[in-house]
Amino acid sequence: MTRTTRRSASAGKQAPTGAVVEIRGLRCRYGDYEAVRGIDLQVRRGEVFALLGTDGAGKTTTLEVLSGFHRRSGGTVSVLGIDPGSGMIELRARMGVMRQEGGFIAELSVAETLRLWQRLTSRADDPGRLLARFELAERADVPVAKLSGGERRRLDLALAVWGTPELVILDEPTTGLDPESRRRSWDAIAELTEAGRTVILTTHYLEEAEALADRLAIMHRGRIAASGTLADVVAARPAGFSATVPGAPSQGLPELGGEVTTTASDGVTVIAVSTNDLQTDLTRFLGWADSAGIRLDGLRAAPASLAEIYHGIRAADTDEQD
Amino acid sequence: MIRALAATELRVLWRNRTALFTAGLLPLALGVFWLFAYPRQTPGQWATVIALQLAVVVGMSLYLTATSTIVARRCHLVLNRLRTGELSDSALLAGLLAPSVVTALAQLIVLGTADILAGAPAPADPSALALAVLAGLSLAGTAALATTLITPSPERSNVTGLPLVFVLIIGAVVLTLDTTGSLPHILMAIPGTTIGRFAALAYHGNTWAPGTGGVPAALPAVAALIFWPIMFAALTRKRFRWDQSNRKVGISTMESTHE
Repeated sequence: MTRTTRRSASAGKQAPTGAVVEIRGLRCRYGDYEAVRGIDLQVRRGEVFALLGTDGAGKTTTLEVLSGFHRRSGGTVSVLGIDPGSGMIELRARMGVMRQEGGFIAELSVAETLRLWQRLTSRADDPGRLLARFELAERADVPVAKLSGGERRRLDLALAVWGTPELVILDEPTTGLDPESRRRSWDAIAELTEAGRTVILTTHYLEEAEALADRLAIMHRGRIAASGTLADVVAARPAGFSATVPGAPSQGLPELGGEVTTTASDGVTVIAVSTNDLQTDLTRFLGWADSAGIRLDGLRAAPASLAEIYHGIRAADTDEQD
Repeated sequence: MIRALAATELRVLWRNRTALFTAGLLPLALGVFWLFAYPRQTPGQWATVIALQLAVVVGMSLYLTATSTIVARRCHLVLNRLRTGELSDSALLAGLLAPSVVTALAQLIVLGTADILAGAPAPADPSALALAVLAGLSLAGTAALATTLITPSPERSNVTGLPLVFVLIIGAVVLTLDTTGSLPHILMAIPGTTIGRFAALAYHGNTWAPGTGGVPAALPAVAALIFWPIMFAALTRKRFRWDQSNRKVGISTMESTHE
């Protein structure tokens, strides 16, 4: 389902062109703590770019710099050709931002909140369209204080996409939403890119990145640990295959380029191989089984998943620390 | 855009019954009470009444209300939201202050009208009275922003704001009773005392006549009128917090986002 969303989102839009965001050597400090430690990023026009990472990885700080809310301590940043450190007002007219934490005036109704926003931005849009788009029409006259968490998040997203800005920055846009609302939010984000807009988002949901992102970066401890298209990121990591054979293999395993792990129990042996050359190693392995007359039960081969890559980065760092 | 924000905040203020009482009715009631309870036989006594009315209006309707509003908006992360719009940070704060300023001005007009109907004499120097109003509004507005720096929640604004309200009221009485010697000049070193001084000068006259040491009578008050708002504004610019972030060290300040 998630793959379908990405394909359908990509189908109606043109190939991304030009850089909307250019980051070179970005560093950000909070006192003695360096939250972002020299990252380079480029986001192209018309693409959805996902920033992934654990809590404290530096994602939100990076977005805060792009949005002009936090001063960088080093590096250069260009957003729509403007330095957010000095051209914030000009940028805000062209950019929609959904922060990780953004409140509302509790006494105002949903419709009043949208009308206020209508007067606080130069971009034109129709409050009725957004109420319908984000399924808030029936709640239009309800004070924001009485909305559920998910409804508030939808209202938040509605304000961020108000007037279909050139660039939309979304910090964990679907956190707290139920699956259906999350899916509808994905559709709204896909609509933006179909209209040629650029979206940068952070998320903890890997399936969200897989479904929406044209390119992604995984941040860890203030640095970029992996970046590129999903295919690039996956291709750079070992793929794997595994199979169960009865007893202990009568003939020795063939020489494989990848790392082989065997686990014997209950009269069977599970052979798992992690390799950077899946085709060659799998061909040798299958040839070995065929020549030895071994039946391979539960044979599986797959590239690394985003989840495996994500967890691998965390695990590698934990090992280094140990 | 500032007007849109200010109009919305004004609407919200008037929907809140507690705020309506403390910012709307109470200052008016106190102003009318002083008008009838305080002796007003001489211009000097009228100066005290008018200074008290000014002090309570700018102290409660503007200073305390604006402090509470801005702290509430920060606590509820509304400032975070508003900063994603197209208003500059300064314009945003101006929009949040504006409803309190408008409310205070409206109350001053009501109380001024009541004073005239009660027989208040025309001031000897109307410009000094205008300066008293200007001093009150500029001081209370900027002090409200500065007080948010030490106010963690809207409820606490009644505590953190109380000292200045006391100074405003006591200064209104002391500086309209004692208008000679060096004491009025010395008291200008305390923020909030300029209202009483200008009100006294408005009714006693000789605003610019040489006084102690040949210094024009109004000069220390004019210096205080300029100094304190600038000082509070500078403090706000350097230290203002837009959110209640618990991040490791950092807080975004107005200064940090304008460089």
